[in-house]
Amino acid sequence: MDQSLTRSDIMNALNTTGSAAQMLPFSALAAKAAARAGIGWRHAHYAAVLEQRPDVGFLQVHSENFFGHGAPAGGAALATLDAAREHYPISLHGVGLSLGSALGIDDWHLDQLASLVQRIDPVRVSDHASFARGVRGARGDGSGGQMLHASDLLPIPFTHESLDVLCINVQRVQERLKRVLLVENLSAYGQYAQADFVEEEFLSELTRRTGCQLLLDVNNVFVNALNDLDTLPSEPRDRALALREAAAFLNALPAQGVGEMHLAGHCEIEDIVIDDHGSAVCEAVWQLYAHAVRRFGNTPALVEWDTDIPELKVLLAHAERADAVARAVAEMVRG
Amino acid sequence: MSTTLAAQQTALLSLLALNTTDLIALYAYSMPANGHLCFKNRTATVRGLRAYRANAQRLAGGALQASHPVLQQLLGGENFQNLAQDFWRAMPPERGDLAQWGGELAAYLKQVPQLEALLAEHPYLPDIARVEWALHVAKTASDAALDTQSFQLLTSHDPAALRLTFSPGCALVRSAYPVVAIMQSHRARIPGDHETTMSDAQDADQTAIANREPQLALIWRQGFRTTLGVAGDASAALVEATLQGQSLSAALHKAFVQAPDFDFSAWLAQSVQSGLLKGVVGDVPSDTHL
Repeated sequence: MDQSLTRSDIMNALNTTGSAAQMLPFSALAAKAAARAGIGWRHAHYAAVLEQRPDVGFLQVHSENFFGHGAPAGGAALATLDAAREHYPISLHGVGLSLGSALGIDDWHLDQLASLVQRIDPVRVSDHASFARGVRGARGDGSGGQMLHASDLLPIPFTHESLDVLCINVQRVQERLKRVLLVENLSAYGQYAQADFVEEEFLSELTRRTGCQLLLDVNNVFVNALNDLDTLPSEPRDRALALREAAAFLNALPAQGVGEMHLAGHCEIEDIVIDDHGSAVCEAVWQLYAHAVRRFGNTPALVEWDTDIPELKVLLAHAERADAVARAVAEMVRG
Repeated sequence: MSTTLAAQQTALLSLLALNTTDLIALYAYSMPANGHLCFKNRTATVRGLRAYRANAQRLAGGALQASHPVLQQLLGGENFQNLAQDFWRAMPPERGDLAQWGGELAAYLKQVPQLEALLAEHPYLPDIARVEWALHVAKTASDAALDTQSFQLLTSHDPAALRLTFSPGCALVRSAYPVVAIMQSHRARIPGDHETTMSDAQDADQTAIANREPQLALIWRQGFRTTLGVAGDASAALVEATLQGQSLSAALHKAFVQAPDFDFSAWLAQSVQSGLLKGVVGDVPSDTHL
């Protein structure tokens, strides 16, 4: 679906938006040069990875897949993760902390995560700038209603109040885990009527106030840019414009604030672009990733593929490409 | 509590609970719907909310199928998917780990008026849900090793001051129906299900089903493998009392009430061999003896 975007479009987009931004100096890039790309390790590849031991920088798993009904959790899945931990750094990526919830963090969830972190000693721990935990059908005064966890990454408003809540929740997690948490930007399919910040300001302020780092999902930034185009379903999407907007978003984030990056595929349908992690990373996202490496350094990148999971070799090829992009950017900066 | 933020989040969660027709109607006549959400155009509004809802529906079916594969087989794929959606709306997840959701399914099945006719014909379905949930819980229960040294306590201590300890996730489900036999006959047909060990007595299962025998389902874990078996009355009484925290003497008393000739020594050896029994602990508080 990238045929409408030419290489010159991409280079123009990157040059025009990138030149104005603060880029990391080469010394900083070199210091991060050891970072290598990892892959999302899903059940379909549990056995293959343990048998083949592919040469990747790290494995990332969804933290909640290793929670349990016991305290602490046990069982076969955790034992499998233990086995992987003997050979790879593990990055624990959560989808359920609901960091932006006005109700705060669920004690049970934090207990399970803390137990998992203690057992695995992961290289990084992350979750999302989202909420899922709340009350449905409450009255206007907030009373009544049904407590639930929506099991999704729902958007939060970019308001002062929302930032305060997010900071409190992130701090609570960091203090419990005694680690810096990484917080991922969303692909959001809606926005709130009220806003005191644009998203990049909101996230920058989050890092400044809590000391957390960002997990920059490059694909999410591009998906949001596509959905923000306000294109009619019958019109082609202006991908070059979306790429410029996405690059501008990256330029507004703090240069030292990104601790991991995500690369994934998305699905474009007539009236919406969905971040489904079910296909190859598109060329525009690769270009945006190159720009992100130039801006944030060779931060560990992750290839995420959660639906229609392909053969392991496809994921590995993506990880190799991410490493190649990082090397090429470093060469370019050196030259 | 951050009141404005809470209201904004409640607004979004409430919108996601609407069906598509209500969603379209809401946005057609009162945009922005509730003062908290806005989208650039109405098509995008409904489309975006539908995307979130479709994800929830996919997750609901997938999570419940993972924990209740036999129930899914008994009801059929489409019926089960519809049940999962309805269950999600009525009793949504409360935790950020979907594997924790589904423990109330047995109770829910009994509450739904539309299922009355189905349950009249297949009254064992809620018990199947209970057994499947117990198996699901056992999978990720805390690990435990066999404590062989602890069995020496049996020779040195009063049974009133001892308690047996069972394997992770051990549970007992009392049913008026042949639930273990039904589980056995259906689970064997689920491709790729190698996680649960069950008895190989197919003839006995068919007899139990034909005779509508009540069964006591015992669930435990052997290493990482979940196990389902039929418990006798005395064994069930002993396990149940122990799971309630009662002392060995109190649990044995319950077993002997069921079967005066209960052979505890034989039961002990068999339970260690099967992985059900992990050890013995001492210093049981006196108020748990009865």
